[in-house]
Amino acid sequence: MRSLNDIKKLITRAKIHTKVNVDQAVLGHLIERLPEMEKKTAAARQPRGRSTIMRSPFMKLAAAAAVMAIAGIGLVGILQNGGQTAYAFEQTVEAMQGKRSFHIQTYFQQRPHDEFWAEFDEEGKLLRFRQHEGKIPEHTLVTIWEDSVMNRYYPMPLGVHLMTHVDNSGGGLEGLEEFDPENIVQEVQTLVANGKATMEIQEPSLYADLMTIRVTRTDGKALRRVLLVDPDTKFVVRVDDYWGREAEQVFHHGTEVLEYNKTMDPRLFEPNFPEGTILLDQVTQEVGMGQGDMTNDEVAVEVLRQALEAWAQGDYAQAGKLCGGAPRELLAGRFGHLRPVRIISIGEPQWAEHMPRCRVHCKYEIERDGQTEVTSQTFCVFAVDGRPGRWYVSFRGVR
Amino acid sequence: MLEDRLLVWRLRRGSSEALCRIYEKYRDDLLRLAVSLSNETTMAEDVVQDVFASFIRKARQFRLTGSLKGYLATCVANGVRNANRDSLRRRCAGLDEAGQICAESRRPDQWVVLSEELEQVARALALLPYEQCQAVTLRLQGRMKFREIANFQHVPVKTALSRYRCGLQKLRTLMNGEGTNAIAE
Repeated sequence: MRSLNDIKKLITRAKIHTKVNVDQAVLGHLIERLPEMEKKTAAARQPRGRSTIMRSPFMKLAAAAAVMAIAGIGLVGILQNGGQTAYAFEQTVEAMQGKRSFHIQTYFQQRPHDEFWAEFDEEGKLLRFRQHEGKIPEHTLVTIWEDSVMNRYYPMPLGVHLMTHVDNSGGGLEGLEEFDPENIVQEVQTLVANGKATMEIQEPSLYADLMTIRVTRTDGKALRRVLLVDPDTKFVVRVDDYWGREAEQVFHHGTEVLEYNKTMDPRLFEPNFPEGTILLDQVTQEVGMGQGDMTNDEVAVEVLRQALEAWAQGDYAQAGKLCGGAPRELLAGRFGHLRPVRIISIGEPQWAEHMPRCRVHCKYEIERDGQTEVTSQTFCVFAVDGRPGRWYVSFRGVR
Repeated sequence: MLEDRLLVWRLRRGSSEALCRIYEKYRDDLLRLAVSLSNETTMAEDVVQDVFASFIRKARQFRLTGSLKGYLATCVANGVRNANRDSLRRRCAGLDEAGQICAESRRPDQWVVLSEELEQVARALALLPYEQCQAVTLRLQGRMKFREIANFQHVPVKTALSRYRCGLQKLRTLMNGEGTNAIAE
């Protein structure tokens, strides 16, 4: 029986080792990034500069002269612009109506996050989309959806192509509407019309080709939204949201509209993944196990038991089916040297919140290279996407 | 502490030797923390690498006010939290796991090798509610003060303390093989 002190020691002293070659590669990669070290931001330097300038009487005069010069240039700009019709945000709302496609790049905390290509029908219903997640091309998670089938490519070291049913009858697949430029401008217009936000429009100047629209919520929500609009097409080309009141705790989320209503290359939506990718097909074949009259707890235990039995009998086709469509050859290659001999106990499933998945602890005897040993493992059991009442188990972590 | 200040000072001047020293000094602790928080070696490796990369990028603006290890540990905990949030956001998170059927056995490019004790600890920690797991790992592996954990979790210090105690008790129950029912409590 371990005491609390033993547990603390175990957690504190449990060792981890790193492989020397990978370690050196990681360090080498980090050293290569040293030149990328960011310089101090202009914002960070600004206060010191300002106080230094204003302490000197000569610099005070120079600063005043500069302000007057800028004001003069602004006046000339206004006079030159006098003949043009003033921009109204409604023009952007109108220009962006009737969306058929968009290509966007999202940002989180100023860093690139996801890239989306999406096409819509005449009623604005999503026809298909492609999403890239990840900064490095060869490590990008790719998702392609069309006709209720989701193809997802998990890059190396997984190298897996997972094909599942994902329905979009409720809309909002992958939260795409959140990034939809048409939705964004309509939302802004509604907020301003309902008095929940104020809008400030800054026309293009000598220093900026785009119009800047600043929207500030006045209904207590700490959101500032900045939109950049192309003065010619009236399309929104960039949206930046800043959430939070405290300067240090502002969350940024940005959307750059790279293309709007442009024809897209149909090959973008074809699931062509690198050679050697393992296909887990949950669409054209039935995978997992039917629940029948069993409760969720019962089915979780049963699917695990059946998968272990199939594995024990060397029936990798059945094991693969119960493991979510894993190819027979893959399981045989991966687990051929192991054979479960006897299940000692299967614990109660521990369900995740809000998700149809659970962990099931299992203790069993396993034969490894002619030797029998007792092993304990926690398996994950999942509902098959788009196939209500079917469940499968993951052999992840089995060694 | 003094060494860390010197290392950060040198790193800000672009010293690769300082980077090597910081990396060697804290790599194992950060990886262990990330593994304990995520129970996933791949995620842990990615998070730690990202934390170092981001630390380098921001080094010129970085001012060391406390312990460097505490700072890096907080970055790792944030990284794991974001990575978990990302995987939840991909609503087919279960399918990630399906993919990993073929991946979790040793990968050729795997960076870390866990000792049996750490595997056991990570498995047990994964069964705790996440806030308790965080409190225990940040305290015991990240060597963070309860005040720092409370700030990180946006809760009063007493809550952080009680999460830590409760988590430890549950771990004890689990690791003494007294069943997993305690986790549901």
